[in-house]
Amino acid sequence: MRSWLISLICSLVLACDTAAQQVDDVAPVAGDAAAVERPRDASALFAKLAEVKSLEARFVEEKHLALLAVPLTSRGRLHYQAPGYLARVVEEPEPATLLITPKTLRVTDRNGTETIDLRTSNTLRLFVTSLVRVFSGDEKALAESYAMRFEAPPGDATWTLTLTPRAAPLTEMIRALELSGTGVTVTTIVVREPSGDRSVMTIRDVDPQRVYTADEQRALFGITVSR
Amino acid sequence: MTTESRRVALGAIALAAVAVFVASRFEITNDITHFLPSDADSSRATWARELASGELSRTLLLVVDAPPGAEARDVAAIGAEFEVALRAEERVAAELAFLEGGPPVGVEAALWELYQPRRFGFLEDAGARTSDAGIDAALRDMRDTLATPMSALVSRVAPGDPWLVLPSVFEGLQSSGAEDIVIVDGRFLAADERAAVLFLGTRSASFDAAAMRPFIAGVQAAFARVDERHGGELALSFAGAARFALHAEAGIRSDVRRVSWGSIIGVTLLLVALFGSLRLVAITIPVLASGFLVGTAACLLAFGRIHGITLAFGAALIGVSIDYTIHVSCHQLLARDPRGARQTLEQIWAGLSLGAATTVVGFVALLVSSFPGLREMALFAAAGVAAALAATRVFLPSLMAVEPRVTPLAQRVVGSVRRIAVGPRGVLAAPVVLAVVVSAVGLSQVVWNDDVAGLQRLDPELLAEDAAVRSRVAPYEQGHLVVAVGADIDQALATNDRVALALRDAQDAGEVVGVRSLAALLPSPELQRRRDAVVREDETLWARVAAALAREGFVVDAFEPLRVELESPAPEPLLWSDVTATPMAALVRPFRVALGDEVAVLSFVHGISDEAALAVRVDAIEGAALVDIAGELGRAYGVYRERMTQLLLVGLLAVLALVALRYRAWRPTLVATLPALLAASTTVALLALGGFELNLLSLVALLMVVSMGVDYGVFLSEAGESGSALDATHLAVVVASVSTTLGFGFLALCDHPALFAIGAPAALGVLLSAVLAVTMRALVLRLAKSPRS
Repeated sequence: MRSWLISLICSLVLACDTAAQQVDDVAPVAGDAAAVERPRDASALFAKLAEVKSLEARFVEEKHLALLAVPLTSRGRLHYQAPGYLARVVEEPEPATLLITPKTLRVTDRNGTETIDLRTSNTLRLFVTSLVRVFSGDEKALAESYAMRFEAPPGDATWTLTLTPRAAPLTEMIRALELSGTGVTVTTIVVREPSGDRSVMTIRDVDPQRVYTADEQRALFGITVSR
Repeated sequence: MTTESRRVALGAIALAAVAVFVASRFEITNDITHFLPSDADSSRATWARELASGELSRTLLLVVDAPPGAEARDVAAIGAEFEVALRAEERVAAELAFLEGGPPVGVEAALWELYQPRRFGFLEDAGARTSDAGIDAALRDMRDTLATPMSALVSRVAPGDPWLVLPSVFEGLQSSGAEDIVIVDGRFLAADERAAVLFLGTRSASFDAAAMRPFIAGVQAAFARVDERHGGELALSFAGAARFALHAEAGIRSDVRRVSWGSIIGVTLLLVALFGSLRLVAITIPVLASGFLVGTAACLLAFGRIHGITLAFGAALIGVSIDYTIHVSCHQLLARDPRGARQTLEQIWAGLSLGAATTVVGFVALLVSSFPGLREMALFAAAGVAAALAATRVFLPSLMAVEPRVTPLAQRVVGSVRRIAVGPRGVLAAPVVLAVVVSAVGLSQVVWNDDVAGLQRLDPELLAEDAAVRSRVAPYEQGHLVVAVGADIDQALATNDRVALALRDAQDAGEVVGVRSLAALLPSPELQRRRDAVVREDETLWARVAAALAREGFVVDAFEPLRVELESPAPEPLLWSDVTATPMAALVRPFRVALGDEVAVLSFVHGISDEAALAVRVDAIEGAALVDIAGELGRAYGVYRERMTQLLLVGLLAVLALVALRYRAWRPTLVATLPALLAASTTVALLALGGFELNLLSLVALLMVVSMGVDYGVFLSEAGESGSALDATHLAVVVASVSTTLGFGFLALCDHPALFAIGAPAALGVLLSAVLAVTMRALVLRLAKSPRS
């Protein structure tokens, strides 16, 4: 799939995925979730996100689509590197990698590799900018595109952050993003589309201390590190 | 009032009327395409000419560099600010055809509305894609895509478009854009995000200096205001033909001034030195003015405006039209009729008329040239020379001194020429023999330069700036374009369909790196109909798709929109006019140009590594060609130069016929014409031996050499064998040739290559003509009187 709008959507949805990874990233790797203080509000959550420089996690995604008789399930790994590099590596059922850098979107699957310059479309760039702002914990900028609602039941460590697009074209592509977590760990991301389709991504084995070597950075993110 | 006074008064009134006409209608142009053939033989040459001078050349690229360290958003804001300033600037707005500093608003909605209902018409390889295997492959791809985050879009499109045609069209849109431009906050930026980029189109041709001067000044003024607000830290760079035209125009104006003043001052000094009085200088003014004004007026009447090169050529003609005054004055000085100046004029009028007639006839041959510029120069020369001759008759006798005195210098000149004329045969034969030898050696070494660029003077700094801007934001070849031509846009699009396939193959073969094509975005209506018919008229298609959907785990009912669409009547194909009525117009506009009465769809290429292979591939398509603009124009130039040579030969024959008709004897005809012809060939040979390349304008100069050389020959033939009339004619030939050489010598010193191409051969040739006319005449007479003859 090589298209301008598709990559745009891809960017948008990845933005949601990425947000999840980062929240995971700031959460403790182990320990009693109830003992960990959860963020008081969205601002506190974004403040934690801003502290993350790199992470790795595993994911399982289920897509419930009206077009398909049964949900599609994919499994793989997520890799994040500040500032704004994210690789979504699918291992099952079909190997595929989707990489976002500050300037490009690269899709690699059995059909080959496609690189799209995100800067050729302002709309596309808008979405990616949103993504970068999630990574950087830029709540103010995100608030320009999304309405945010942070809910946390009393006496519980769990919380939900719901991002609702404010205007088109975001509203035409996505109805809401729901990030759920415990403490400061994001455990689930639900993407709801206007059509009723939804995808549920469950995140586990988050390693917020993951440090990528120069070779890994080049292989995963296309970053050339000067030695 | 005497008859002479009435004649002068009437002449003055007529001259004033012409002056008023010229002043009121005067308009100068520097369009170099004036010197391109207007009826090129090959369609390629015509296309090249149109591409070089047409709509493409009206686009300017402006790049505004922000200070180092500026954020991309700040650069975008500067671009927006500059666009506002440009639109607010009256001089820019008046000439603006379009101004784009960012992608058009609403293009996404327009894309959806235009393409979604017509999607089957955009399904490439429709036959294969709708086969069972093609359907299975499409569904597998779709399933894979649905497994990715891209599912959000695919699930919206797929129910009515399982082949995902629309995303392919969007890809075509992306690839049709300039690759080295990015978009930030709705503004075009250079890929390094340090400069804002704006595209401007002008209504007038880029070579229309009168229109471009205020326009460019307006652009610079608008930039200056923006720059001032940013502390003077911005930098503006241009790419586009308009500034070259302005620079050329300024150069030509300067050249014309230099040639005019140089000629006037030089000729004045010469006349004062020889005749010891300013009176002769004064009385030449009405003759010179008549030649110049009438020549200019004739061009303005015939062409609406006059080219700068013609004007400079006209300035040089000052040295030619003065010949008649000089001839009359020399006779009044040395061989005057005691009854008065008019009678002196009458004595030599036949020779003067014949001389002028040969010049006019020589140039008239150029009037049928295919080059508007040459026709203009021919008209200028023919009308100007005729007017100068008429002014000589009208004004001179009344204004001349009754008893002019002979200066010592004039006496020395006369004495020297007389001594040469009666000198040893060897001395007389030497120049002739030398000329023949030089001609024999040099003519074989002539190199013709048919590169049209050789007629222009491009400022190196502007050229470097232009190249830098283009390589930064529009790296596609300016000199090579692929054209798909048709009688109308639909036909051109049909050709372009085939061109796109060829270019895709060329890319696959590594013959070219990048291609910008309109084909994906707008196939021809015919191709859209064919593709749509393959899909819609296949009655088994829905059943086969439904079966495949079920096999691949899709919900068949979810694809009901496809079934409904397949049963619907085919929509009308997407037309050029449909697209241009939407915000997408800005995206498709650069691909279409008018080529005379035809329409061309362009494909832009870059990184050509195998031009020959690419040309073979494209040229195999009827109505399509890889146009190497400079190369095609050069080839056309070569053909036209040969044709021009034939025209010049016709002109020469006419001159010979005219002279022969006058003398009805071979000897005076030979004396009148041979020196000029030998001078022309010697001039060519000398230039060739000197390493100078000749071009079409050199041929024009040679025609002048022959025309004026024949004048000298005619004057000498008319002068008789000895006595004061011959002395007067000798003096006249010397003074006339020196004054003409001065005029063309200044032209040869001009920076402009076209002016040099005229000036150098003319100056050299006229001087040689005078030398050979004097010596050959004496030699022929001597031989005629020898005992053996």
